[in-house]
Amino acid sequence: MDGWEWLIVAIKCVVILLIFLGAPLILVLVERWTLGRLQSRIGPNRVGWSGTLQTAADGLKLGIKEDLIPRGADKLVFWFGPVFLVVPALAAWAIVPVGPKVGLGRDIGLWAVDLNVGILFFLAMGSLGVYGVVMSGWSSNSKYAHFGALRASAQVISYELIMGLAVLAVILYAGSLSLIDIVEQQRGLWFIVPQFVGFLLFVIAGVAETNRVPFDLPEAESEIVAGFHVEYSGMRFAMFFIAEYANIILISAIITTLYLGGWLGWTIPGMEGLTGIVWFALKTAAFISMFLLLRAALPRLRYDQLMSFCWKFLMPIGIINVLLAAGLRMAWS
Amino acid sequence: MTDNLAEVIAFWYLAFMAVTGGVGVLALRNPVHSALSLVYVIFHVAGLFVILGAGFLAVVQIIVYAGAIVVLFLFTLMMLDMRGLGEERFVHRQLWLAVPLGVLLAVEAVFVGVGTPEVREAFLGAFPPQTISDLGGSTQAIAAVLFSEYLLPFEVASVLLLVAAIGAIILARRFEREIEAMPEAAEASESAEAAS
Repeated sequence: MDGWEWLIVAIKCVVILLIFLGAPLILVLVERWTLGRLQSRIGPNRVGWSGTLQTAADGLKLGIKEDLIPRGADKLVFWFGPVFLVVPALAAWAIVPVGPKVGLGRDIGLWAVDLNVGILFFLAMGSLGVYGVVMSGWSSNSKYAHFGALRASAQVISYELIMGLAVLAVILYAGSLSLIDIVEQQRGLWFIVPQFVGFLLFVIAGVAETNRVPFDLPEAESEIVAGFHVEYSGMRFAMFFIAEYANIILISAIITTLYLGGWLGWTIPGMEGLTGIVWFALKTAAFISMFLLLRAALPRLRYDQLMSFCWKFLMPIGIINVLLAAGLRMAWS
Repeated sequence: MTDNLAEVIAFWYLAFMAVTGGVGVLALRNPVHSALSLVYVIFHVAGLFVILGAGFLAVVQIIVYAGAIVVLFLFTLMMLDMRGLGEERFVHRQLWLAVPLGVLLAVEAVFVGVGTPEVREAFLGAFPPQTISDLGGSTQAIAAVLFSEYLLPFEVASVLLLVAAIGAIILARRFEREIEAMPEAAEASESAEAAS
């Protein structure tokens, strides 16, 4: 590696970090506006130009608030809980390809790394996110936080399997674990067409993994106040928000990559890189909006419904889906 | 040469941290801390797999052990009443049995290691990471061995795990039925019915 390559890697890392920290700011605002409209109220409209600086102001407020550690809390674990939530969400971004290779003097792939086990790396980071929830919930020394952590661990373990089964069928079609190869394999036909069932499974599991409505039992405001992060304040509380929204964007980006052909779409000759990024952003934004609309549209599941839906309904469908995909693959080749 | 140096530094760092975490699993008094220490070990062992060029093993290590097994440990630990757990004696009374057996096991491991040519060669660096990538990436290499040479043990292990899972479910079920058969439970459900 020469100096330029190091520089390119460094720039990629900085860009990912900026998106990671900046996107939640915008997304929180968009979500509050959307929810406001859908619930026949106005939403934030005071700070800045018709409310545009609301999240920035909230961020500032959280930044200068006291970082409270409850009495009886396990200090070290409490301190590290939010960190464990943010780091996997950030690390998983390393493998997301936002565009094709572009030639700017040299070939630069619009991704941080092309891991040959890329999609497994995403699953691994997804399964690590639960540690943040469990650690912060357990260490808070609070009943509500404890229940949130218990629910989160059971939920994530269950829905991870569904996500794994859905991904397995995609891997069978693509014949590779690298996300770049998976996108390139979709040049003829996006995987959403042969894998529509798998796509639905992945979306459902994705919503469950991000603890969003209708699967937001770990934080269920109306039952256990705010679940695992009830005892947190100040910047630590803000970290939970950053992680939640970063995960929403991440899952949307992965859905785009696995099922909607990633950066593929009509291109202007000579501008493949730019159009690729635009396509990728548009497709991802569509799924992010779906996450926001779901929150306004659906009620929360009951806990037993959540579990039996996963194990008795999604699981058999997932297994049959993988078997069918394997059979079709065999018939093709 | 610089790559080699970086690799050596990474190895010693990861190995030292993995062993430190292992000591933590045993020495920490709070079971939740022990479980988290185990996650720490798993991470560093995954790092060792990475510098060996076995990315697949590294990721699977994290998915299976950190992502599923230790989360289940924590799930169970959170169900327990842990008051007074840290006050037990650190040195267990089975120590007199554990130490000789541990020493025996260590000696055995060294003997097997020295006696097996493959292990000796691996120690001397006869299996550099290049051979793994020459086999077409570690994922393909593992699949090629697992689904040909070791197919039978692999299938037996998976059936064994399935049996264990079914057995656990059956045991839990029976426990439920026994509770229902208990007179107190019957009375309680009767009074609940009467109340409704």
